[in-house]
Amino acid sequence: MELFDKTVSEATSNLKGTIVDLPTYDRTRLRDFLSGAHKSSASRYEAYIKRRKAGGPREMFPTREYAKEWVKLAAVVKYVDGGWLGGVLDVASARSQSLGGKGDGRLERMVGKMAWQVISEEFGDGDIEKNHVYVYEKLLDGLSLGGKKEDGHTRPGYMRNFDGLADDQGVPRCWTAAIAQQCIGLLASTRDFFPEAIGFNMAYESLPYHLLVTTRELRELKINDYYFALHVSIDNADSGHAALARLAVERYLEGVRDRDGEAAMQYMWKRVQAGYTLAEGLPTTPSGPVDFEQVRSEDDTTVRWKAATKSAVVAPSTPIEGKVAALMIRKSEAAAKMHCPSRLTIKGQTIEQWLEPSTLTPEKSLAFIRALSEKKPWIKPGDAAGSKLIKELEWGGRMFGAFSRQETEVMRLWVKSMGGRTEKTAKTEGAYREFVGILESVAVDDEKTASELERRVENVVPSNPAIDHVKTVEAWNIEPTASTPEELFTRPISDVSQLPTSRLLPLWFLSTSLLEQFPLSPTKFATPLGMTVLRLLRSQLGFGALHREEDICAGIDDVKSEHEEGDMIGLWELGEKVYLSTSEDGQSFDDIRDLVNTPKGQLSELHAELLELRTRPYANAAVLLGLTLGFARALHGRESFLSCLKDERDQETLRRIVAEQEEALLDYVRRRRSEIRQIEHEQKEWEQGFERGYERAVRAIGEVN
Amino acid sequence: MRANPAAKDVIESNQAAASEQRQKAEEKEYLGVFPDLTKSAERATQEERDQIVKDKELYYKLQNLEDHPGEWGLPDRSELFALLMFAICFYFDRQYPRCPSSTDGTI
Repeated sequence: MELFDKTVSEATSNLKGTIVDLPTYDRTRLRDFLSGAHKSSASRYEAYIKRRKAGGPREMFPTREYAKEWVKLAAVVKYVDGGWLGGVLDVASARSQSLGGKGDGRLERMVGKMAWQVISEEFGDGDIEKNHVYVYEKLLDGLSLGGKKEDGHTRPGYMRNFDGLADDQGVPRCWTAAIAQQCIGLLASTRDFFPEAIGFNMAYESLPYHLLVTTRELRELKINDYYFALHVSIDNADSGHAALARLAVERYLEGVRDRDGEAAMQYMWKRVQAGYTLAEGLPTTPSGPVDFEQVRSEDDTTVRWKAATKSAVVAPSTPIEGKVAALMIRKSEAAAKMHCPSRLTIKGQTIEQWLEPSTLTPEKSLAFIRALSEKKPWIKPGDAAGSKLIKELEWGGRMFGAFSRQETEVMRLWVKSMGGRTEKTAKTEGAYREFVGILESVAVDDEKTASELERRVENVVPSNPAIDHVKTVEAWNIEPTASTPEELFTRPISDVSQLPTSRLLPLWFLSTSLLEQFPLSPTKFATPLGMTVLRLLRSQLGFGALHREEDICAGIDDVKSEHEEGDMIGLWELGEKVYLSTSEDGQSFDDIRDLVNTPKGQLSELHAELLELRTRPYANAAVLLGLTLGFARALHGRESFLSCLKDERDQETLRRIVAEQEEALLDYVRRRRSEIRQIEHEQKEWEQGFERGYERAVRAIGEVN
Repeated sequence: MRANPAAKDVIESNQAAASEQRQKAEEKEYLGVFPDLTKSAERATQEERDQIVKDKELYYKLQNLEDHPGEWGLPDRSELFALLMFAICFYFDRQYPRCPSSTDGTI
């Protein structure tokens, strides 16, 4: 929230050229704005190419070593690529009430899917070779950068010290951006920051100028630029991520207007703007390009290239810091050798070293004054009179006369301004809330209903944060009997066609949420297991699960694949159709609350257990995949469900989804078995977990009767 | 007048040295334009460095989210269950007013 406050405050204090400059939502104006940003990147790049063709130097990476260092320091952000959408489709996303909407969550779920297509492609659509995190990990490994594992390969992003640096080393802004991306991802559902997440996505998926320069110069330096080149093409504004992200925002806002009215839509627009602004205010690279220009020598005989802009790696100077840094440069000539007797060191350097005129650049000068500002008692932030440096500049001090009265006053103001850091934070506090305002919602009182339901839930499902998942599975009392996990794919399932279809629906909906927490750890997801899960998720959501080469990164085509409106049919939607169908036929739909209040509590207990198991997806992967297979075969593949679907296309979709689920799981099971690195007892344990999950799902169907 | 070969050598050598020096100075100036990435943290404020330490710890935990139950606002068991029920109940209530779960008006 602090980052929201900061970036919104900055954007609102300087509206010009920012998205905040669009006070109300208008599709044409939004498109113009985004297209303007895209054109600006393109024309800057065109000018860059001209300079390079005219003999200009590289503007991003002066040397190969520099580029390697940059690649290493940027890894922290690249390892969470797409992570800002991690939770956009979580179990609560089909609710608009949390956002103050009046209707069901159909709109939010549809928009969430559009946005989710972006994350799916960032993760390679199920193909590890195209997974962005994996591609970056390979880049680092190929260049032998970062911390090393015992086998000599680069550590993946989920391991400590993957950058090979000490704990306090790195580029602050990259770490801030990476954390913000993950937090947005965790809070992307309709319970929290849904509009902000899709706004954030719209900003991140536009094409930045630095990306174009990075790609070209890495190639020039013979460093694999695949990761960056991938983004140049995939983020294109016509059919790529930029278009998808914009469409999601448009569809959402226009849907809110139709459903909840103009005021609600404009409120959500503000929240989308806040998310966009947050992304814009978080630089993700260790440094940016420097623009060079041609200048003539004083005697007008030669021409050379000179930097026209700076590339900042730390926060830019404040106005008062700028004045003091410039003052230091001006004074450095006169001060040369004057500090020789001083043994004072600041961050390992003497004053002489810091102020050496031949090396004192504006950047170094800024670094010096920032280092100096932390040196007590020379500087006491906020207290000019108590600071030794100021005393030395005044009458009686050893540096009296070295600075003019006016210059001394600048130094005083600088010291005083440091005490204002907390004031600065206080100034921005609440900026986000003030910017987005409050929506007078007509929705139900969420908090009240939540507490009522939770009380009921707690009566039947005791909350215990220290649940041992292994014991949970053991308590199912399922003794594995399969000689190979492949057996489960053909194991006969007892006839359950007489079971009431409507009673199975809650289990149906639950089954769609079992795998959704895997992508929340992007670097763990960049593995064969993660890619299998992605195939399963894509299938469950209605995207194609088993991409052929030509389908990879289908972009906007994918979200239109099932319906013109982009409302893809997945398991959730099919479940709704089944319910609608049974309801129309006059069959009773048992109150869902019965699941909570059932005297036996057996099904409720299972629901809770499954929801619990999904919170540790990697530890419980075998069981969760087994459950997925069990539900695919015994629940989604049931003939009685198929017959409830009136539309043949829906029946076909359901059959396809079941087949895709089985195929993805079978591929993974076979792959695991063929992995020579797999330790035998680990493999056995995995297979047993898989079978227990499978059997539990099959039995659960029978227990519903 | 014939140039003294030795003097010519000296001149050429001086020119070469001057050119080399100029080149080095230009190269230094060129490199100086770019921030020294290896010193990014040193150039940052103490506050920013402290933040990196905290961010690294948080980043590690976020990447290994499931190993930190109860720490990151992950809903506990009952809350998860309630969420699912909410999602379903609200969905059906709004989508299909005839859904029995809306009959008593409480949920």
